[in-house]
Parts: sequence; structure tokens; C-alpha cells
Amino acid sequence: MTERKIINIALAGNANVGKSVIFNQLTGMKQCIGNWPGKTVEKCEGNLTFLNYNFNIVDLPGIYSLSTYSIEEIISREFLIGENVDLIINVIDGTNLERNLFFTAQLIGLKLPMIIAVNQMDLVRKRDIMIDFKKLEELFKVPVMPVIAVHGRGIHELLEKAIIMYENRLLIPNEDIFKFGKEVEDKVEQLIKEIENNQKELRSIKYPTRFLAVKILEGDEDLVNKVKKFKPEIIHLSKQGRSELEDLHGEDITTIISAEIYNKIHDIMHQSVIKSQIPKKVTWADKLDHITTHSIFGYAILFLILICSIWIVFTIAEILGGLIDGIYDFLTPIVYDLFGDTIWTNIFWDGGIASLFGGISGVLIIVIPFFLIIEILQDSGYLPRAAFMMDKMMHQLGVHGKAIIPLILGFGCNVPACTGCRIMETEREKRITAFLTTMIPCAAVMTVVLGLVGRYLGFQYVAILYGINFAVIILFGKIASKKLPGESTELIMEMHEFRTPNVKVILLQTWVRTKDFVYTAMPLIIVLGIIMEIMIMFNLLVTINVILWPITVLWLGLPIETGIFLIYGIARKELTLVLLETFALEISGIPLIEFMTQIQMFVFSLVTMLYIPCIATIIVLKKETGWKFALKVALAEIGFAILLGGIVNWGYIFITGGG
Amino acid sequence: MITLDILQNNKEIIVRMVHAGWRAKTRLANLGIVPGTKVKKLRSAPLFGPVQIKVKGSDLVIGRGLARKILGELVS
Repeated sequence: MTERKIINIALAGNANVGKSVIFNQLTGMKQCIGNWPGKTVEKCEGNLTFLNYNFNIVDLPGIYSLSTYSIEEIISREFLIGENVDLIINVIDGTNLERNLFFTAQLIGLKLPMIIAVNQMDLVRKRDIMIDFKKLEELFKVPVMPVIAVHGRGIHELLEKAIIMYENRLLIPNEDIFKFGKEVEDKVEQLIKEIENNQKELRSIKYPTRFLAVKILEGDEDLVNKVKKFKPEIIHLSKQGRSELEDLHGEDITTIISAEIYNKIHDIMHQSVIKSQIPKKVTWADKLDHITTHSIFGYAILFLILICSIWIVFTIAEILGGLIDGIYDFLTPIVYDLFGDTIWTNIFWDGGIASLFGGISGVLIIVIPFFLIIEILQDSGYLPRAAFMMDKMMHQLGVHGKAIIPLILGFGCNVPACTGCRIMETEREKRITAFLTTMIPCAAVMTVVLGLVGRYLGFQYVAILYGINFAVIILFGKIASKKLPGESTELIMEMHEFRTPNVKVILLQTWVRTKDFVYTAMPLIIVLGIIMEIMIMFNLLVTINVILWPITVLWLGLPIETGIFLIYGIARKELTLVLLETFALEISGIPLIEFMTQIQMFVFSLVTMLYIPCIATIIVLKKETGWKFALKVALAEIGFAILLGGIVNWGYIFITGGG
Repeated sequence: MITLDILQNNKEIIVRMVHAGWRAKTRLANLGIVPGTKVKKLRSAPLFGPVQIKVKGSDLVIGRGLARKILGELVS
């Protein structure tokens, strides 16, 4: 058997052009295992075998440029000039060529073999846009191919083309097409000459000469520093050139260069694309767009979607959760009959397997429907509208409108919500948003609040609790946005048209997210369950209750037994209520209403609501922002919940005179 | 000269100046919002929220604070 050849491909393109869909079509499954080294940006890799070739495919983050605007841009360009890329597939949105080609222009500068995949061809045809592929190929000197990713069309052709290119190694894109106007070009050429004269000194910088020249002319921090180390004279020259150009144009350099590139793109568009002149008919998508951004209906719809999502998640969780718990209860006596009541059965079954079942019935079946709903909203194009409508309000929390998306998710489950914070552009925005999502009362918290306060104290107290919760979120949002270094970013996002969601894409993405979650959170949930069981065995729980006594009894005024319930709540918040009820009935033999006073219930719920995001959330938060930040968040929330709970307790005692 | 935030819906300007900070300016430039570009305002969100514009054939939403920093000449 001959050995298979390996072709390394990088998928690059703007956000929202269907890159991930192509990736999934190619590799069958998105595999985002781990992050880019040292970064909190997810790395997605996959492979496939096609016609005796092995393809390694890396899906780069969706970006608009190869500058240093975001960490994703730096990661992408460093990966691309590394040794592990044979070929770039640049995915572009055919309905939005002008914007997408700006990024293509940057990629061409890297002088790597490239294929341009023009996606959304179905929409292109529907809108009567004519794209002259031959002309584009001629201009760029790279293959330009039509693709309809959601239907899997044109995908195999991409691979076939990749093989042909790999075997011939001929096609280096034509960077001359993006030559600038005389003034800028003169400066660029001056720098190119200098770089070439100093090739030896600069050999550790792998970027192509022209790309490097343009970037240092632009004042690209990263590359300027790299060149400075070896040849500060070149940087001096670039500075000189830059200020000359800026004086000449009365604009800053980024603007000058971007404008030049867009001018070129305009010429290219002029030669190769004909847009329909027929006025667009008003479609259902336009009507939906209109109503979802309406000043009254827009908010009503947003609210309705939120309520419906929570209701759907709740209903599913109740039905399936009961079923799964039933299976566990059914199996338990059988297992005990078979293996006897030994330490090992206790640890394995009551600890490990019980946590596994608990994780499925308590977390997984809440998470999956929520993933599904969010994917539908995402794929249909609703989410940017929500961000548009909520931007103003989100600014009150120190973040911009996009943060509404993870925050909505948080009402179902904080876990996917934390993952969802990736959409925020800067580390600062991401951290604030992640922090806020961990304080959103999730479905599990809702069960506790409704089951305890709602049931025994009445709904007005539920409203008060939620009111306090939201006030805390606003307060912490304000504090976090002041405390975290850096400036707040304003909303800049693309708004796409509504489209019918694609079932396959939704299911695939949901599956990918679920798998990711299971791998991250499940093992830890199980391990913690086992540790907890061992602690029960050695009677450590009583000790914990005693240790926590000053907090639970003295400060919060709760029964001493609640200490351990609150500890359990770290694993799953709804456990606090379940355990409380069981304990009151089975051990004390009294109904809950006699076990706790009303103020105790209120304080207990308040603390449960605020004290810590559950362990699964902490794990995901750690994955997104690092241990240090996750730990800080957890400690801050525990501290604040206890503080507030105590204030309510003592305030009540003070007001009622000890009653 | 008029800024994007106070421009009427469905009116168009040719951008003359972007007053934003380096980051925002870079991002806007990368998205094609540079002097000389035609920008059409489509709508703004209720309660003085962000504005939606059409530029280079696609729709963008930008925060109101940023929209205030984009100046241009009205196209009649």
C-alpha cells in the first residue's frame, strides 16, 4: 500500500459566511478540542480522507482583517504563515462580495496557494446577481468556485481542486492586483527594498516581504516590534513614510490603505459582478425584519421568545428528567442485589453513577434544548436583531448589545451562556459578559425559588427575589466595567437577512456543542459525586455543617443542616431544594413549612440564587477565561450572597424586633 | 456636514470624517467606512439605540456613540 499524501488546509473568511458549515460538511463533525496555545480562542480541527489523500483542516476564527484588531486576527495570521498550511480555502459570501473581498485582499498578501469558495450561491441566484467566475479567476490567479454549503454542493469540487493544486504547486495568487496608488505604493516599495537588503537579519520573520512592508507602514504593533529588534532603521523609515502620507491625505494610515483596497475591490466588482437593477420585492424576510425591530412589537417578541424558550426547556426537563431519575431508581435495588451493600457499590453507584444520571437529568436535558433553540435563533438570523434592540440597555451593564445573546441563554442554563460569551470581541467584554451570565437565574434556580418561596410565601416574594437578582447584576456590571482595564467597545456587527433555518446545520451544531459540553463538564460532575459520597461515608458532612455553623446559623439564621445542602447546591442548584424537602420529611418527619420559617426560606433562596454558579458553569468559565478569573468570580459571588443574605436576615430581625 | 446618528432614515451621506479612536477606526475602515464611502442610514433602534446602515452592499449595525463620530455630506 502506498502511503497517503497529507494536505493541510486552512479555512479562512469573515464571520457568518458559512465557514463552519463547510468545515462540518468536509470533516463530518466539528472538533473544537482545546484552545489555541496560550489563548482562550477555540481551535477547530478535523480531517478526512478523499481520493487517497489525507486532509487536515483547520477552521480559523471568522475575522475581517489580518491586522491586530483582535486576538483572533493575530492567531490566524501566525497560523497561516507557519509551516503547516499547504493551502487556504477562503470562504466568501457571494451576496456580500465587496466586504468579503477586503479580507481576501489581505490573504492574497500572504502568497500562499489559495482557493476562493463563493458560498450562498443559491441566494446569489435568487437575487439575480451575476458573478463572472472566469473573470475573478483571471484577476486573482486563483481558482474561484461556487458553493452552496448548506446543501453540500461544490464541497467535493473544492477537494478535487485542492489536490490538483497540491500536485502542481503553481498557483500563487496575484498580489499585483492590490497594488496601491502611486503615493502609497512608492512608500511600500521603498520599504520592500530595505527589507530585501536586510533579508539575513530579518530571516526569522516569516511574513512575505510585501505583506510585512504594508503592515509596518500601517504601524502594526506586533510586526513593528519584531522588525525593530533587528533593524530599527526600517521602522524609522516606515514612520517617516507614514507621516508623509498622513500629512498628504489628511487621514490616518489605516484609513488611507483601507480606502485604497476598497477602491481596487470596487474595480474588481465592476469587472466581474452585475447586480440586478430590478427593485427587490418585499419578502417574508423583510416583514419579519420589520416587526422584530419595531419599537413595541420588537420588545414584545424578544420577551415572548425568552418566556417560550424557558417554558419549552422546563417542560422537556420535567418530562425527561423524571424519566431518567425513574430509570435510576429502578436500577438501584437491582445493583444492590447483585453487588451487595459494600463500600465500592456505594462509591461507584451512589457516587459516580448517581452523578452521571444527575448530570443527565439535571443539566444535560436542560442544556440540549437550549442549544437547539439558540441554534435556531442563530441560524435564522434573529440574534443580531435582539442585540440591535437591546444595545442601549446593555450599555447600562457596561457591555454592548451583543451581550444580550449569552444573557438570554443564561436563563436556561449558565453553561452554554458562558460558552456563548465568545461572540464578544475583546477579552474585556468577554469577561464582563461571562461574569454577568453566571448571575442570571437559570432554570434550576427558578425551580428552587418557585418551589420554596413561590409555594410557601407567594409570588410577590418571587418577584422581589428576581428584582434583587437583577439589581445585583446591574450593580456588578457597573463595578466590573469600571474595574476591568481597557476601554469599552461600541457595537459593530453585520446584520444579515432572515433565512429559513437549515435543519441539518442546526442539529449538527447542537450535537457539536453538546459533545463539547459532555467532555468538559461530565467527568468533573462524576468525580465530584464520588468525592461527596466518600465524604458522607466518613461522616464528614456533619463536620462541614459544624464548620459552616457560624455562617449558616449565626449570620444567615438558617437551620444548621442547610450548610451541607448549600454545598450540594454547588453541584446542582436544584439539589438544595430536593435535599431540603427529603431531609425535612424523612429525617425530621415534618413538612418543610414547619422545618423552616418564612424568612429562612427567603434567605435560603436568596443565597442559593446568588451564591455560586454551579460547578459545571465554573468549569466552562475556567475554560473561557482561565482559572484565576473563574475563581475570583466564584469567590466574589459566594461572599456577596452571604453578605446580602445576612443583611436581609438581620434587617428582618431588627425591624420585627427579634420575631 | 451631518453625523450618522442624527441623519434621517433612508437618507444617504458620503463619509468625510471618522472621529473615533484607533480601534474603532480600524474596524470601521476594514468594514469599508472610510472617507468617500456612501453610507445609507436604514433605521435606528428605539430609545436612541444603535443605528443600522447600508454600506458596500451589506447591512451593519453600529452603536450610537460611534455613529455620532461619523460625519458626512448629505447626498440629495
